[in-house]
Amino acid sequence: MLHPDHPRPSSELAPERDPRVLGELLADGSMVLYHTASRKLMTLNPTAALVWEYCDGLHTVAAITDEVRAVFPTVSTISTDVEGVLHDLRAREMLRLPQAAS
Amino acid sequence: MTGPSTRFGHDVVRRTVDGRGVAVAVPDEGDRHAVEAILSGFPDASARDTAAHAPYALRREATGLWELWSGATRTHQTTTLEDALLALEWQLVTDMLARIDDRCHLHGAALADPSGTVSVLVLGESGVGKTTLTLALMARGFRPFTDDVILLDPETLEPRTFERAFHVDQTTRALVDALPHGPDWEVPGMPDGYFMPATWAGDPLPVGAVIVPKARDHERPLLVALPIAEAATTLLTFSGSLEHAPALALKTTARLTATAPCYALYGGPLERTAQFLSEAVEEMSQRKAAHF
Repeated sequence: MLHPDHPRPSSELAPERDPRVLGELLADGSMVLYHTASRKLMTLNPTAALVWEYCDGLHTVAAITDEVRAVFPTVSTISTDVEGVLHDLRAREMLRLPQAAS
Repeated sequence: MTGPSTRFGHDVVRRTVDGRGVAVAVPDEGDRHAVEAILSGFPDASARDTAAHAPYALRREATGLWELWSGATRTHQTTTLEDALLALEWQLVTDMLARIDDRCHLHGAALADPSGTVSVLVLGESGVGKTTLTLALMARGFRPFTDDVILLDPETLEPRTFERAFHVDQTTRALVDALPHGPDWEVPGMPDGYFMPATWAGDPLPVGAVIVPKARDHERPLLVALPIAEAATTLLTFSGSLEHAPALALKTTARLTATAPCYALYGGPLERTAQFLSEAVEEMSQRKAAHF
């Protein structure tokens, strides 16, 4: 969950996976990430794994949110959930997320 | 400083460790017998097999200290033979593991169940009781693939036998001695603190379960299934391959967690825990046999 004080990523930014991070999909749809430089591990639930897959530098946050909403149409908190996942990924330095222009 | 390779031309222990010839020069006869004993699980090697690699050397200096050399580099200096043997074995295995990129290394023990149907991996940090549990399961008919270094074939996901001597401290020995059918500790020439099983698992077997000992203070032993993501993190935490072969470690972990359940073991008294785990593995083994 995104902390209320945390700056939200602009919906027009396109987050990108750090190329030093390896990800492996697990049998239950969750995913494990390994940062080869920091040697940190991170696990993602299936929803977060879906977000991760779309972090290709091409999909904007808004586009990722739309894609995830298409998979989980009945979930009303998709936007917040996606922002929370992106925040966690960025906090663990698994992601490149350009700063919004001031 | 001159390395030992120029000083010693004989009195060498030669073994094949994971397919590579290893030579250890040990000038002192008593020390050499101890080295031969702790490395006795590894097959003999010829001088020709070991010629391509810089030799190790373990020697007692006039100062009373033991020195371990790897080629021309002194890697360890110890005050006791026991510590020198530990250092030698650690160095040999560490050097071996550094070369491996075709198998997954996990820190833990692996055993074949008594029926020879499945293998069980026991993962954990040093001191958590892996060796104690392994010895207790062996007393119930399990056969070891390894006590400390699991080498998994990434294709078949099966552990391979790694016949390294067990390190058995006094606490472990006392616990295992209290079992109804403890092992025969008396292996000729084996230094204190080491144990070499009389039999090993032999043929590889698919992994039936991964066990992660968590505690030993439960009156009634308990196995708690870990969710797949937690199982994967646990396996990777005990992976020796993650740093130098991360893609292999991740893929192997994903496949292993898809095929073998991973349990946290909340153990109690050793005999009760071994019996409990033995019965649980027997059930897994029967299910596996029925499946095939």
